[in-house]
Amino acid sequence: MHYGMVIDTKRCVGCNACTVACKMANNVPQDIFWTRALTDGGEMMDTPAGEFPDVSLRYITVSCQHCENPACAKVCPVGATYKDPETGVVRQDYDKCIGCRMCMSACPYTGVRSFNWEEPRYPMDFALGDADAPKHQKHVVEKCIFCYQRLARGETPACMDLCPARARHFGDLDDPDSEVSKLLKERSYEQLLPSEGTKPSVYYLV
Amino acid sequence: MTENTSATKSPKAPAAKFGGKGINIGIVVAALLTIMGLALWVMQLSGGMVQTGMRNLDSWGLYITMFMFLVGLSAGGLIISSAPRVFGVEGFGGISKIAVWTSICCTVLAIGFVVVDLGQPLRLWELFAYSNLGSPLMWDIIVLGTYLILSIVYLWATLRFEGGKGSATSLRVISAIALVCAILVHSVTAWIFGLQQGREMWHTALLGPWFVSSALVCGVALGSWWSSLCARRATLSSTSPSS
Repeated sequence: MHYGMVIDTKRCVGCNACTVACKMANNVPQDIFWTRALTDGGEMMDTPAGEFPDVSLRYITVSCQHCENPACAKVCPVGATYKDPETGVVRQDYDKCIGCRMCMSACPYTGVRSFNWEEPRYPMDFALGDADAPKHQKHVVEKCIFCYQRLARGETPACMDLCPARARHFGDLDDPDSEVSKLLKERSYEQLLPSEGTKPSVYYLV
Repeated sequence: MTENTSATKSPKAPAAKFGGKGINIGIVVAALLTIMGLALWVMQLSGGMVQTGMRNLDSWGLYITMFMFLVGLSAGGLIISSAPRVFGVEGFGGISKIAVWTSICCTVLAIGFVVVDLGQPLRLWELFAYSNLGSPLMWDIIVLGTYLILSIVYLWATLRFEGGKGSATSLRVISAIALVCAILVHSVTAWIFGLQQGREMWHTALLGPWFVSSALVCGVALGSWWSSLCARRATLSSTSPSS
């Protein structure tokens, strides 16, 4: 099994519902985002590139790319970040992480990994989201885990369900009949930083 | 003899470097700084590393910079310490000893800086239980540990040789191993940065030679500064009006 995501940039409106869904489902601490809709256009968020009438704007939602050749897993000195051989998900073991942040330095996709610089703060007094989401710890690195706790239950990641534009698709890239495989056969796509040699599992339909 | 040393020491009374008083003051100051440092480290860990000012987009800061710099100083010091002996150049005995001593201090400091940079230093034991031998950080830990032990052995052999025991050949062999190890240790440190394909400025095969050549420059600077400092003090306390 090789889980991957296919995101349709022609449908994404940059609403960040996926960002919020992820934060809620995994009780992600304040100031940390595991996925974000980045504006591919002007310099500021939600602004287009170019001069009217030749303007262009699209959104790229970026989270951990769950690479097939992950730079982070290679450099982790204790193996706290590792590629799960069964599912292809790049997982993070908070209990093992020594907080050296080498994974954050090695990952070419700057911003997908976050370090808990202080005791995690939450917007609510109670934990949000899945009861079996891993508990966050101070002074360790965390990132998108493809909602591994949901995959274990046979569900899809939280960011997939709430997308109002139905731009996000998840599935087994090894399975030729899965939704994601079919989309990749039908539409043209691109990936982020393919020259880095990390072989990401996230595809963006263009 | 006693009158002479006290006659030359009194004009330099506040800086009694080679007297018991000077060393004792130095030890007390160092102990105070150590206690302060440990207290601040505990503060950093309990209050959160957010206090260091480091943030996510560029998560390595002064700690790792100092680590890199100190490994360079250490490697450079050991290279200039061992190279003359390996190549049979006479007259560098004093500098050699000072250089290897400062090199050991720098190695210990470098390891200290990595430890204070860690978010979970109590989990250090995992580095040896769950080692990922594919990681450049792991290579550096192994090489740095070996290098520290080797530097101490080298200093011990140097002192032993100066005391009359041990052969010049065995010291030369240890010097050769130390020279190779010093070049290796800073190359491995360079690879921690140089093997990251996402960081274009670092991602070059030249980073290894770049680090080693910078280390040589720093090591020479540190060695010559220390040597001139010690030579000046030694000259002052050994010359006296009637000698």
